[in-house]
Amino acid sequence: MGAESPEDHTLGMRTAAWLALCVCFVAACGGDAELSALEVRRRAAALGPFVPEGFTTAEVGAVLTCSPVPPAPADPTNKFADDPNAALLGQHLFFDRRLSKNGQTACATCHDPRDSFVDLDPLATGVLQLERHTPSLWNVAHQRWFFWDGRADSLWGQALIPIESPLEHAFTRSEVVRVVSEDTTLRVLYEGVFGELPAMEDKRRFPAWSRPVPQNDHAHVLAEEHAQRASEKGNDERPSRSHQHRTEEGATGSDWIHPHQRAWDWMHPVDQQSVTRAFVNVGKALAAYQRKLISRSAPFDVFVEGLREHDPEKLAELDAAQQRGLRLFLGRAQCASCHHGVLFSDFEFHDTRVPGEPLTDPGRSRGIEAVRSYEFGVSTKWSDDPEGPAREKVDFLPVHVHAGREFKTPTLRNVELTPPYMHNGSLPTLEAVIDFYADRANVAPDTGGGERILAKPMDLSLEDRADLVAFLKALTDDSLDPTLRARPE
Amino acid sequence: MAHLRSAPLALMLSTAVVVACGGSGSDDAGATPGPQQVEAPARAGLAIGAPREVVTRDGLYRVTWVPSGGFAPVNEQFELDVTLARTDDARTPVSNASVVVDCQMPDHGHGMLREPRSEALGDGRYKVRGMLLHMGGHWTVALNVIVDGIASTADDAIDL
Repeated sequence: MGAESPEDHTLGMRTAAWLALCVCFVAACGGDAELSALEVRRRAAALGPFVPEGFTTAEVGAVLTCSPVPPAPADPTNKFADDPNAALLGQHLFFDRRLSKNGQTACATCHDPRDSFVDLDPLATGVLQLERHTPSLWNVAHQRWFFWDGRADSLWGQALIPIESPLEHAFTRSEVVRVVSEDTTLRVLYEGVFGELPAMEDKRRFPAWSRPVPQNDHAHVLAEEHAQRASEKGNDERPSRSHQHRTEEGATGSDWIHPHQRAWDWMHPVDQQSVTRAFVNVGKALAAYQRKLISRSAPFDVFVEGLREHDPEKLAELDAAQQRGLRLFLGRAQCASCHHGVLFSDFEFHDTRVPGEPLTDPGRSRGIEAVRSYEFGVSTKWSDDPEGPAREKVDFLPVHVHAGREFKTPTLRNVELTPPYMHNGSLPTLEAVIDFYADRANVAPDTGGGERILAKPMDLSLEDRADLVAFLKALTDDSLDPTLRARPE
Repeated sequence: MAHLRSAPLALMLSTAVVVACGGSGSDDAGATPGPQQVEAPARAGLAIGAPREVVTRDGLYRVTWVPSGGFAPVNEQFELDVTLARTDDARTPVSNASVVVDCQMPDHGHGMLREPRSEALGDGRYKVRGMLLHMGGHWTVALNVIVDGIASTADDAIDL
């Protein structure tokens, strides 16, 4: 036998503590060794959490705020949120490429379940390339805001934006409803949950490719820029004009009306409402499916169970480096300032001076403007609880928006599986992210709104940085039910 | 920079208060942990059981404030109960004010990402809605009262 290592010693101490706890339990029961697992947990909880060697009581207290991930919170704005048939319909739709202009783009194109529901590219590409990175969908039902700039305030409202964005699906609400209407499986599922679909077969009442086209919408502006660049490159194949919403060669800008808008204007207002209602229901079905994308059984979660239950086997789920990384994460490295709670995110927005293009992206300030006027916001008539508590987060948004390029704090659950990182995918690895925050060597220009705690480099050794990365990898749980990873049979 | 160094510790210490109270705020103090409590994450925040009292910079008003429910959570929307009185011996209630609460994190260079609004309840009492302190750490709390068009500010601070 060699000399006892520090790790062996620590484990030995833990085992001794656990055995002592069990002895206490048995004694308290008058020698009855048949304690249920629940009773053991109850009594361990009554003793307070275990404090591993090297941790303080306060650090353990902070750790306990990060696990377990509770069930998805109720969403009163979507009364179908937990309807299994709505979720099944949503799962069909999530993988359906027909819901796009090119017939090749589904939600799952960027949120590819084979790659942990992202695409692993720096920037997302739908019908055209976007200016931001595909965000993670893990535990998405817990999010407060959606998109990197929070321009949607519900999961069902979020799901509708990419479908009509000229950059992403470049589709229309009328065609979404038509696809559902003409597919027997989708139609049966839809009408079983939501009721009768509009009579889309009447193409005079419901003309093809119709939607209200938003004015001054940023996605349309970007689409126009794509078209302009393609034109400047001398492509013989002219870019599609349906990306544009105001201008056209040979026409005065203000006179031109987008063909989707023309078709929409042709429809009777009652039919417009019925199509939009069905479109909203599609968003609610997509949300019901995405609520099932749960990750809550990472090694870190087992470790936290071990703290609560005084269980040495569970505590051993994090090795020494990961435990050091956890303490750094909570303390000196200051990660937990923004990355806290069960998703390791405050769900809010910060300017950390992320490098890379586009530096003109204003982030949250544009997102606030957009969410206030969003057609499918939680306080609109399309919500199932327009006067409910969900609207408060919007009601109290600041009138005076912060300076800076603020973007949403991403969740860190499964972060190992979702490279590259940041809103623009500018950092390729977790190591690069840690170096960025530690060294502050390649920060974007100061807008005056940056997080001040990041103003100076941090004193983090190479070992510290490796420990932080090791801890982040302890947040990986990709054990989702395989049947949720593909279009249903 | 003392606040900067102490901010993460402040988060942890305030969290420890919650854990010591049963993991779900002061209301659960002394409760026997059951299966549901065992499975719930601890709640971060600061228990503020008794109203805090501060006097405005100009010495005209006493402002007392306390989070509704006695707990200021980290990153959950909450409300404040505020009372406003003159600094006379009778503590005369001031009921015709506007109360504007502004919280800042000097170490971080920013404040709240919400703009709370107040409602006068009469007899010098006000309800402030829309509070959200989205991060742990040191927060300054400016209680601005506007009476007959003239603003006065009372300053306080908490470590979440």
